[in-house]
Amino acid sequence: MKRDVTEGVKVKGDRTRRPDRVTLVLTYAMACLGLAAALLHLSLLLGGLLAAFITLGAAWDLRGRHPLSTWMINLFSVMGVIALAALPSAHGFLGRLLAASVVLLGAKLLGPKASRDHLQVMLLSLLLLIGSAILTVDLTFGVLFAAYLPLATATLLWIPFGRELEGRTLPRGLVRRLGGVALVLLAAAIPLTTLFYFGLPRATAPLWHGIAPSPALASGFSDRVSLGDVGRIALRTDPVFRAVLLEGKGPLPAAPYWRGLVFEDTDGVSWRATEPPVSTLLAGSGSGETVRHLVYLEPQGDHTLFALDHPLAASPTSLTLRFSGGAVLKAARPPATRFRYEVESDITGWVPEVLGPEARARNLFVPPGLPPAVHRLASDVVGPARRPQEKVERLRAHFHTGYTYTTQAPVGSDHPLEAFLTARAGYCEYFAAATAMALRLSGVPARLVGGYVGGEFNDQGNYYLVRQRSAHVWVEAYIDGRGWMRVDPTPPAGSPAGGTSPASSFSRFVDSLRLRWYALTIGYDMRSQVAALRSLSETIRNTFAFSLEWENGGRLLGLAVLLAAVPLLVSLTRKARQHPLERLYAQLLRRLSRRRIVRGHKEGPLDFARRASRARPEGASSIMEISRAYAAWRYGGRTYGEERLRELSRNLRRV
Amino acid sequence: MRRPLRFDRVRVQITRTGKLYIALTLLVGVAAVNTANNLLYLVTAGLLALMSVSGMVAYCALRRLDLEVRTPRELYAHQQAYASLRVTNRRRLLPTFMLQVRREEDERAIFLLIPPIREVETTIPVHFARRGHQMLGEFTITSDFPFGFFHRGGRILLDDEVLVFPQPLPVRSIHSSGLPENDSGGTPSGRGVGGDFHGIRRYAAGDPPSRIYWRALSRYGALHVKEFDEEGRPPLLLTLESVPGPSLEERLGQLVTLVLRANAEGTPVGLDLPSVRLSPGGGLLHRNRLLTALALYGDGGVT
Repeated sequence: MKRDVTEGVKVKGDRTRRPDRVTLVLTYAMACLGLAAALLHLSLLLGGLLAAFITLGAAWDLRGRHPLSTWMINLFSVMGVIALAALPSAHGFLGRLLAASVVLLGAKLLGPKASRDHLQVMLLSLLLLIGSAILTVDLTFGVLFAAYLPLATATLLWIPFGRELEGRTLPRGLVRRLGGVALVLLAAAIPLTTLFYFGLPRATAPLWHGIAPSPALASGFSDRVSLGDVGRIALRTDPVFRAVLLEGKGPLPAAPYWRGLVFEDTDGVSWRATEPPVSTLLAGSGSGETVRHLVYLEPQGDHTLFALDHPLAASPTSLTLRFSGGAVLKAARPPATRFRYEVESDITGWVPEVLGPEARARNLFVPPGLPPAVHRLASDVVGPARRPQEKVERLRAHFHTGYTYTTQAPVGSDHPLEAFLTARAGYCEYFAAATAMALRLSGVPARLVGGYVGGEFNDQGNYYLVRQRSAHVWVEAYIDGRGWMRVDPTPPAGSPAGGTSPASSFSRFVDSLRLRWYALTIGYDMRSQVAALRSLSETIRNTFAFSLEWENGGRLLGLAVLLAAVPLLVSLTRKARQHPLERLYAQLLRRLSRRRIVRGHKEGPLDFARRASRARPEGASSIMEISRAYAAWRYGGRTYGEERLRELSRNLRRV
Repeated sequence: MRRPLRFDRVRVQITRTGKLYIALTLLVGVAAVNTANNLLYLVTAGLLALMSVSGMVAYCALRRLDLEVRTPRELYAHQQAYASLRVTNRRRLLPTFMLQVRREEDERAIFLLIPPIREVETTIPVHFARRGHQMLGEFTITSDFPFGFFHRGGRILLDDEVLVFPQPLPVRSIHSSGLPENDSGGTPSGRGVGGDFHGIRRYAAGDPPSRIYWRALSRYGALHVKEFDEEGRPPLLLTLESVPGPSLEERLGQLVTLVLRANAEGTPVGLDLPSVRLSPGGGLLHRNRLLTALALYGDGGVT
């Protein structure tokens, strides 16, 4: 019998069989993963720095020489951490912490490595990965995590072996066997990860926001919109939110209006968002068409939430979002990461609210100093009409026929509205502001609404992807007895309301994957957890409530048979590929092992047969005969006929 | 003797790596709950899953294993020897990795890999502080497999007895006594070694193999040995007084050295101790008889 594999010899020159090479490969793979995670949320400079550390560390490890002494590396680490703490970071404290992790990771890579250092590299890479989990909910994190789990399994598995085999040759077959074990461990870890992920109790809302940095302002909207702002973001393509239409509703028949802010106060040039008290709905309202939708909002840096037309109900309420006056939704605090909420909206284009005297006065206010062109618009275009709705229609028709949409700011006058009315071209803000002013001058309460219009409908996920370029401003005019009526005076041609070119089917597919990831990561909360548990208990109750209808019982039986059949099939397939003599010999080994006669590691079949014969003299002839036949087939290529194989098989029974 | 590894109590000890890992998992878990960040929940779930898998595999790693310890034929007190340690994995599918066997602090062996239905052998240093019959004692068998988070295992008491000879010590001086009268012990015929050829006789257990007369085997069909007259070197009969020394152990140690030396030189050697008397003789068997008598003399002679 061969000696145990621990009896390895000292390494001389065979680099390919050095265990430290395996450790280094795993360590640098971990470091690269950390680099990828760092690039998700840290600056390119820090990413480049880490890449340089990885390259230098790998080169020095390959040469087996580390020019920097330990004290130099420690000094470098301390100075690096201090410098990074002093520098500004886009992600606040967390950003500095992650940057410090990059420096420490670099320091670990530059020096000589003990098994403790390999573990620390793994830990620091995990920290960088966790950082990307906090700062981004991107699909890339999913990819990185999917790579981290097997790599961490392999590294954790290998490190004790690397430590034990230090300075020795790598026993043949050990890496292959450990690789197999790593795969088995991973196969067991993946379903457990899924189970833990869905089973770990969720909080209703974050308990502490300290670690998450405040997001930078990304939205095209703020509480003050000056004429021209929307024009500047009209070309930006970054997504603002994705809205999944629930209950199987497909694309909406008309371009959807996503309401965000209401602007009531104006000085004639700029409009300020207001938060009037929540109004009561008019009696008899609410019979319009409603659409339930789930919104996955990108972090915008403010409280604004977007929803279709007139949001009637939303969840989760209380801690995370609330209704505000003007039929808009507000987040309790600016979401630092992607945020999901569900809304039910009336999409008829009406907000049937009661307008109190104070609100009426506010929405009829005309600032002094309006240019004569606005007054002329009110008198010439709106003047002849008597009913408010007629006034609205006249204005809309006026702008739709005689004006053009352009992304260029109108020039030619000190007052932007006068310039617009003279040039007869402008952005949606100009159209909306001019319409609202003309309506107010004609005695119709009017206000501006900011949000988005349209979006790219993705039929693979049944959702709208709304980008910054769909930013839009429109008008709401108050019609007594019916409420606020949506009026969009901007001509459709060229404006966001005119629609956007559809994305390619591949990019729609990729985006739908992204949405699924968001649904899994952002969308899963305590409510979903409770619902899933209810559904599970319902399923179990239905399955085992016997009444166990035949159909259910049959299904259950079928499943059990299927589950039992899988290992059976695997075993049969494996056996079918075995030579009959190989199968026979394996049976012999099993029989003997049951009697504690076990073939030694690398013990030859004939040596083992002689030993086994001594231990079981009554079966000696059978043991010897089968073993000789096996050895002759295995090593001598001898073949046997059916009759001989049957005879050997009969011999086996006598063992 | 082979015996299955069954522990009275399985001890699970968390290693430093394990403690660090648990602390990290808790930290990420707390961060996940506090921030309601599902990606942190995912990381926590992954960490928990690996820990659970590690526990399950560690549980399986020590099941269905047999242990066998074989000591060398000659063991001397205070001298390190190497015992053969054989572990059999009786599982059909799962190999065993990183199995550590420890007797004392510095007596440790490690099995990196024991494939299924295979046995693997290695050596473990063993050291006995006392002569006489000694138990192999307690062996601690542990495994850190798979991730080194838990030190799992137990103790197994091997009550097989081994005979430990006294520690050979340098001989300061020797006072040899002559061969007593009417003695018929020693070599079966009373013949000596090194002198002229005397004749042949039937082989008896303990005769040196070098003296087997092979040609006689074909003629008589049985083993015979050649006999020689004594060479002139007188047989050595050792007593406790043959060697100086303040303590019994020191004297026994010197006697062991003398027995080993005489046996190697072919000088017939015997023992005359208060409790046992062995006439001078040669051969391995005789030597072992002498060493056994010395090992079991007095305090060490507990049988």
